[in-house]
This record gives sequence, structure tokens and C-alpha cells, in this order.
Amino acid sequence: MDPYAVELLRVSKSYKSYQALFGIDLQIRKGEFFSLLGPSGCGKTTTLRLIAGFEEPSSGEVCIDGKPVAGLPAYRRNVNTVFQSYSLFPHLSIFENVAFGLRRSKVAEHEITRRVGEALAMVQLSEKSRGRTTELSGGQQQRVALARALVNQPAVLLLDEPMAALDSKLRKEMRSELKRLQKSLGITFVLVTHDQEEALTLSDRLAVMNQGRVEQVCEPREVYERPASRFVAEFIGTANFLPVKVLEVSNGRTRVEGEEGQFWVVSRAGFGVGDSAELSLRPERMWLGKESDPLHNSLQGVVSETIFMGPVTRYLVRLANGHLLLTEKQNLEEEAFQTGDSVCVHWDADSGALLPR
Amino acid sequence: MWPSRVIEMREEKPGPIWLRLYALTVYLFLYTPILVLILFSFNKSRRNSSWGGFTTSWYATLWHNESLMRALANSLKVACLATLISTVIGTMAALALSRYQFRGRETVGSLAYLPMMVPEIVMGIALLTFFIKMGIQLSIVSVILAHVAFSVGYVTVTVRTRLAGLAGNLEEAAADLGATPMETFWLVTFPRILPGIMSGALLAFTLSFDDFVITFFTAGIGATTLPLKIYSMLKFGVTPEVNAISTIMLAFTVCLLALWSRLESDPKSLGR
Ligand SMILES: Nc1ncnc2c1ncn2[C@@H]1O[C@H](COP(=O)(O)OP(=O)(O)O)[C@@H](O)[C@H]1O
Ligand SMILES: [Mg+2]
Repeated sequence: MDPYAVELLRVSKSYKSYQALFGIDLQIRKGEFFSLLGPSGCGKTTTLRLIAGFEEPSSGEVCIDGKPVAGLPAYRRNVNTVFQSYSLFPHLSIFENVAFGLRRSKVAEHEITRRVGEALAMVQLSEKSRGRTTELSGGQQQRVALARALVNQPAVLLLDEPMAALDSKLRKEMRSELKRLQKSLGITFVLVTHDQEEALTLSDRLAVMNQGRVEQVCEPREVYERPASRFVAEFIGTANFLPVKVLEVSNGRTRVEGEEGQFWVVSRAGFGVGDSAELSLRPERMWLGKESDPLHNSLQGVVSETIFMGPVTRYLVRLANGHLLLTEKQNLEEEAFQTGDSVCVHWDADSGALLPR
Repeated sequence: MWPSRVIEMREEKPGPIWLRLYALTVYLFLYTPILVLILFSFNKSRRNSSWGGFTTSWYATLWHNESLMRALANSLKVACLATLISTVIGTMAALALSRYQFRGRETVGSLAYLPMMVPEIVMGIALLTFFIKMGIQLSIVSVILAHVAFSVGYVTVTVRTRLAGLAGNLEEAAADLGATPMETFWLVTFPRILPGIMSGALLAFTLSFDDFVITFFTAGIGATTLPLKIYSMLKFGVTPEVNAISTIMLAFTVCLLALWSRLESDPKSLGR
């Protein structure tokens, strides 16, 4: 089998007394757009620096292209980084910034001219090549940083929150440009971000990190629909959580019971009869009706607050036991509910997800 | 919009009149003696007490004063060599202090400030004692060594400040692009700290060129520098020649300091 582009095996990292990573396992496939997603301080940058070679793991192993890289300094690794702060060389021209890596590997002059030209064209900065990096806007600096890394045709490109410093419009443009580049070049991208939307829209697969641990590695759709933990469910999107107990498992369906009643949910490995669990429900996967509907899961309640948000309206529904349930409804040309209305909240069995409690 | 107006107001509002008068008095007190000195270097009369008309002939006399020219040559030789040596050592010390963790790092770092604090006369006596104990002949070499000793700290401090102000992880970026530690130093670190090194060197040169006290203690026969020579000329009173050579030294020092302050205030100069 083809080796992984990057593989981390039980990697831990401590800085003096502070442990930043706890036994990280990651397999990043060749040519894949992979993201490390998590809140600030969870160890994403540290993970990236271990791959780049700026730090050595305290224990565990990092492999690039199937080969362990312990002790291999950063300048000998076939990976390139786009730094969070871009780190362009202010004393060099834009052309020389991009040519820096090629010159280090003694590429012939005419070849350098050609490849730097191509790289700058790729990021639409051809006409600026003689200028200074200090004269560029944030978005343009970002593009130079990208060209400077990609011109070396690395096996893996590491990107540390590359779009964090851009305004939101530019960020969206840059996002699609990144995706387009990655597709056309076929280079493995490892993107670090705390922006869930960015990770979901760009990645082939992603790892959700929390406090130095990997919580879940999967495809964007799965991480949203089948979060592995309450942390993941809350970090990506919004969710309601109902504490439940498993009553019955049959035919791929599981019946659970909570304070609010009994519900059907898609079975999930690791949950047996008698287990305590948490049922996670996305607001937009539930709908409101006037009467209860025996074909779906349903709950009675009273609308306690409505929040108009343009394309959708959010309803906070107070249940019989006093708990609040957040639901979302598209604003179509049908009746809307008012505060104080008695309603029934419905959802399908495959719209909920069981989480460990 | 309005924050820029606030700044404008702060910049343009003049101080009260008494404050401006006070500042003027202080500056007059500080600079009048120097202005008088410059003025009397153009005095036709040999006496410093009366004005006898304008002349530049004293500057011409200086040029033909052989022992004075020898002293100038000595001063330049000492200043150049001391600057070269202290710049190299000081820069390396600054790099070591900001790059490596080692025992006693803090102590060594603060020791760099010591020559700036120690009274010059104490430093002079200490160096003299040291040279005698070590059996080092007092000569131009001992003067150079002494000047290195007091100027190296200034270079270290200046370069360290510059290193601390380096933005972002440029060195990691260079390594990431395949530059060996050597290449990283010469292609990235050095060009970035060059203004700091230059400014440290200028400071060292100025200090060495102007130094009297420490040189007085550590100079042997034939190692008379310009300040020492001027001092010996004073035995014949403050002559217009003394005024003239002092004026030249002053002009030279002011030029060096102006260059230095340009380096310090404009981080981009020479750093490109
Ligand atoms: N060089 C270091 N020394 C000590 N602690 C560090 C160092 N680098 C990072 N950390 C700590 O490790 C944790 C993870 O940091 P980092 O990987 O930068 O997080 P993220 O990129 O996810 O925001 C943080 O709590 C941070 O304070
Ligand atoms: Mg980070």
C-alpha cells in the first residue's frame, strides 16, 4: 500500500512543565486536503511544527512519506510551511522571496526564473515580482507566502491559520483559491484552523483537536452528523443535548429513554442496552408542527422565544420539564409560530446522534 | 476619523510660554561654552579674552603640527581596530545571549551593561593594574585592548535590542525553505541585524575616538591619542589651536552621532 504522506504515531510533546500534546495518532493520505481543527491553544500549531521539524516530539514517532524523520532538521525535510504571520523576508524582493528555496537546492538560474514566474502567475502576482514585500497588502503577502512554499513542489504543504489575518471577504476568495490550487497541484495540504466553516468547506478529511488530544478524524459531513463527543458536537455547529439511557437495540435502530420521553435513533457502535448516553440534536434537523406525529420522534412544548435571522428563524421551545430546545426553520411562505404557541418538535431517527456521557 | 484628529492636536499644541523659556535657558547654559569655543577658534588674536577679527589660519597651523597629526593618526588607528574587534565580539555575544539557553545567561547579559556604569577612572585604574600584573607593556596595543573592553558592551546591547525586535519567525522560514543554519545566518539574520551592528560600531568608534580617562591610564610612550595630546597642549593655556582642534573633533563626533541616530530611528536603512 502507498505510504501515508504524513503519519503521527502516539506523539506527545511537552514544553518544560507544560504538556501540549497527549499521544496524537494521525494518518494523512497522499494528495489529500487535511485540516487540524480546534480551539486556540489546543495544540494545532505544535502538531504542525513537529511535522515541519521545528520541534522534536517528546515521545512517539513522526513519519513523512513512510519514513521516520526523527532527528532530521527542518531544512532537510521535504515539506514547506505557510506561516501564520507569513514571515516573508523584508530585505528581499518578491521574486527573491519566492526563489529562496530554489536557490538553496541549487536550481539553475533559467529554471529559477521560469518556476518563480509560474508560481507568481499562479497566485496572480506576476506584475509585482520586482517589488518589495512591505508594499503588499495582507492578501497579497499571503499569496507570496503561498507561492514561496509551493514553488518547491513539496510533498506536503503545511498552512498555519493562513487566512486568520484577512478580512472576511478576502478570506472567502482565498479559500476557493486554496482549494483550486490543491486540486490542480495534487500536493498534500495540512491546514491548521480554528474556523469550523473553513475546515468543513475545504477539507477532504479533518481532525478535531481538544486540549492536546485528537477527538475525531473523519470527513466533514460525518464530523457534523456523527460527532464523536459532546465537544465535537458543540465546537462544530450548534446542538441540543438530551441525557438518555439505552432501552433496546434492534435492526440498526436504538431506542432510548430520557426525562422527556422515548426516542428512536440510529445505532452506534459502543452503545448497548442499559448504557447512559447523550442524544445530540441539530436545530435545523428538527421541524415544528401543531400535532404529534407517531411516525417520527416528537416532543411537546411551548414556543418561548423566536429569533428572526433572515433566511431562517430560530425557535426556543420550552419542554414540559422546563428544558429549552433550540430549533431552526426556513422562512418559507408558510405559517410561522409565535411566542406562546403550543407546538410539537419532530425529528427523524437518523437526525440524532448518540454520544458517550 | 476622529482618532487622527486627537493625535494632530497632541502634536501641534505648543507648551506654555514659561516652559519654552525654561527649555531655552537650559540649552543656552549647555551650549554657550561650546559655541564660544567654536567662535574663538576663528579668532585672530592669540588671547581668548578678546576678539581680534576673523581668521581660519589656526586650522592651517594644525595641519603642519607634526606631533598633533601623529596623535590624530594614533587615535584613528586605535578607534578603527578597537571598533572592529569589539563589533565582532559584541555581535557574537549578542547572538549567543539571545539564541542559546545556558547557565549564567542572565548574569552575562547584565554584565554587558557594566562598563557603562563603572566610573571611567575606576575602569582605567583596573585596566592599568591588570596590564601591569599580566606583564603587558603599555603601548598602543594596551590602549586598543582597553577600548575594546569598554565598548564591547555597547555593541552587545545595541545588537541584542535589534535581535529582539526581529519580526516573526524569519529564521524558521529560511530553514523551512531548505537553508542550512549557516545560510540562514548570512542570508536572513545578518542582513536583518546589520543596522544594529553598524550602529553599535559607530557608537564604539565615537566612544573610542573621544576617550580620555581610560586612555590616560593605559597609554604608553608613543601611544598618545588626540585627546591626550590636546590635554598636554593645555599646559600652554587654551590657545586658538586647541580651540580649532576641539572644534574639528566636535564636528566629527556630531557627524558620527547623527549617522548613529539615523540608524537607530530608521529600522529600514541599510537593512534592506
Ligand atoms: N514554546 C512553547 N513553550 C511553552 N508552551 C508552549 C510553547 N508553544 C506552545 N505552547 C503551549 O502549548 C499549547 C498549544 O499551543 P499551540 O500548539 O500553539 O496551540 P494552537 O495552535 O492550537 O492555538 C498552548 O497552551 C501554548 O501555550
Ligand atoms: Mg496556532
